[in-house]
Amino acid sequence: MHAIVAEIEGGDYQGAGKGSKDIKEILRKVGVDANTIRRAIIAVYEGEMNVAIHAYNGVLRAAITPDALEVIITDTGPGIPDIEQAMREGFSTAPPEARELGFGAGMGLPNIRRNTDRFSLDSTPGKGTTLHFSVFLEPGVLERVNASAITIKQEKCIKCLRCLNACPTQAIRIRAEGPEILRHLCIDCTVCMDVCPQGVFDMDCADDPPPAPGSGILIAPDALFGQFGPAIPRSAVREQLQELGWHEHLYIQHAETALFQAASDFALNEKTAGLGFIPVCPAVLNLIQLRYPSLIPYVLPFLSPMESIRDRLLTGLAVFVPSCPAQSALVRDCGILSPSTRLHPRNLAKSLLPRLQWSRTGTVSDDTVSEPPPCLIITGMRRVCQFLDKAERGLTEDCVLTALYACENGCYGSPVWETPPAVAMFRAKSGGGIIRDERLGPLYRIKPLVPRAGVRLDTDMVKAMKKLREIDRSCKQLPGRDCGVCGAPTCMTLAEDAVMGRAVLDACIFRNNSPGHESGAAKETDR
Amino acid sequence: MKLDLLRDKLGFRPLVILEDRTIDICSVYAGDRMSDLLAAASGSTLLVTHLTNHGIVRLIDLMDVPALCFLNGVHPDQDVLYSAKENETFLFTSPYDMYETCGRLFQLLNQH
Repeated sequence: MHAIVAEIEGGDYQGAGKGSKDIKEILRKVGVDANTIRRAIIAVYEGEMNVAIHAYNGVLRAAITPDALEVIITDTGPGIPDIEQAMREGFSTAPPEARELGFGAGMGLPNIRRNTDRFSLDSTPGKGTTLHFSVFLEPGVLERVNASAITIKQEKCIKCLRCLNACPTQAIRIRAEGPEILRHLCIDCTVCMDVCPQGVFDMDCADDPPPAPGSGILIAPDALFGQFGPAIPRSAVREQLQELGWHEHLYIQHAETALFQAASDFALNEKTAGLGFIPVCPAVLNLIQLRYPSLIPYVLPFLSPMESIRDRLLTGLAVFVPSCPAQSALVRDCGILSPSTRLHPRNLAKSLLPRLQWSRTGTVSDDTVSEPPPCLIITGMRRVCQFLDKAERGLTEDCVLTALYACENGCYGSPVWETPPAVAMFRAKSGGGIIRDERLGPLYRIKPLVPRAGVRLDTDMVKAMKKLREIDRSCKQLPGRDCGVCGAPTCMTLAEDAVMGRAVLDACIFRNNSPGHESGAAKETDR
Repeated sequence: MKLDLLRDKLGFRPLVILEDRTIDICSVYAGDRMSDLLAAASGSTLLVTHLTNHGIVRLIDLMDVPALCFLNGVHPDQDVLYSAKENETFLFTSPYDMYETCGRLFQLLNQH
């Protein structure tokens, strides 16, 4: 890693840009391609000029690895009261002297957004602003960052086909050696983990070395409080966490409540028309991007709680305890400047359990989850899909504020926990006092959600149409029982796999066993 | 379109003398907002602008602009000239205003 630090003075229009020049030299020496350098430099220079124009002073910190350029620009200054307005092209509060020099046309932040792969902005009016962005230096990085975080232990699989039938995006195939996930279709929900009787699927967390307690901030889900049996208050669990060495902990549910509050304010200000989804569950966001792209505009412009916390904790080590693969994928790769690591919730619960058998009361001042404002809450993948199907057809216009969770009873229902979700929720919510931590507030989503290409058959539309016809033809040769024995969830998906070269039609046992393949299959469909 | 044509056919005055004459211009962008100029800059774009201040130095330093054209016969500050030499950027000044300069450039670019 190569690090660069540059200070920027407010009002120093001539000095600003030195950091960009240094970064450009390094990128060029490393051999990054010219267009990527161009994008990176525009973003950094616009960021530097923003500090010179609007703030009193600021610091640019950049890190370069073979994967990415990551930049954090923090300033002390008046801050940005309305980020949505500031992101609008042409909106500017720059002083006249900056405009005379050709700056301050209100294109700075939009220019940064356009030229970066990740971008978040945190601003407190009266205090200052923090910009955090990355430019990926290689095309493969984006896929790696977005890859699903479900691991498979193939040897445990008994081929019961439950996951095959349960997967909402038909991403699973059962091969001879065990299940395989088509990663371009996986949305990181927990359905396969939940239905598997053998524990084949797990959350990818283990690749990180276990963090030493006491080394950073612990970000844990509230469901943790519900896992230790009756009569163990939140305060006792928090006390034991402190004894383990976690002096500072934040809880995702508090961030969730803050998000609900912000979303409700947003909707009250009549910025939404009709439908509005609170972006609370990252797996549901993945689902909308993959299967319901027409609903993307209705997702309220906030980051999900895990993402907000991730983008706020830019200094010091953050140890995340994700409660599902979707959350895990979000914090897998936080960047270079903000070190982070993940801890499997099961491991955390395991280290707490023996301690809690001895200590049943806590002396630490208690906290609780404040009640979020009323909104429609839909949980469980089946119900979520059902709702989104209706929403796509415009049948749920009255649901102005809706929170959708992939797991039943929200994050309390993640299969990583053993206590029944309703019980865990009941236990976790009893306590007193409310935590107000500014790091838990939701961040505005600057880079909008984009549809995922997932089911696209070919980048060339003519070829895709041809493949579609082939799939149709192949599908007619199959019995249409959707039995799953071939390893694909439906006959249609087997036909698609065959055309895409992922399987062969002969995998179908009915088609194989009937004398004169095609006529036999035809008989099956007739019946 | 080769850069020499700007001098020979349109009468633009070169402000720095550079050796390399092989640079080919495929597009022209005219504007006075720094963000727009940054966004439009590329290895084969001639930028036309009224701006002659220090911001231009950064533009030349950072964006690998092959050529810049100022307007109304205006000369830029000295540090712009230094920076252009260092980065091998061609600088011209056009005797015309932006409208006329762009009109002439458009015609020339279409011919070549």
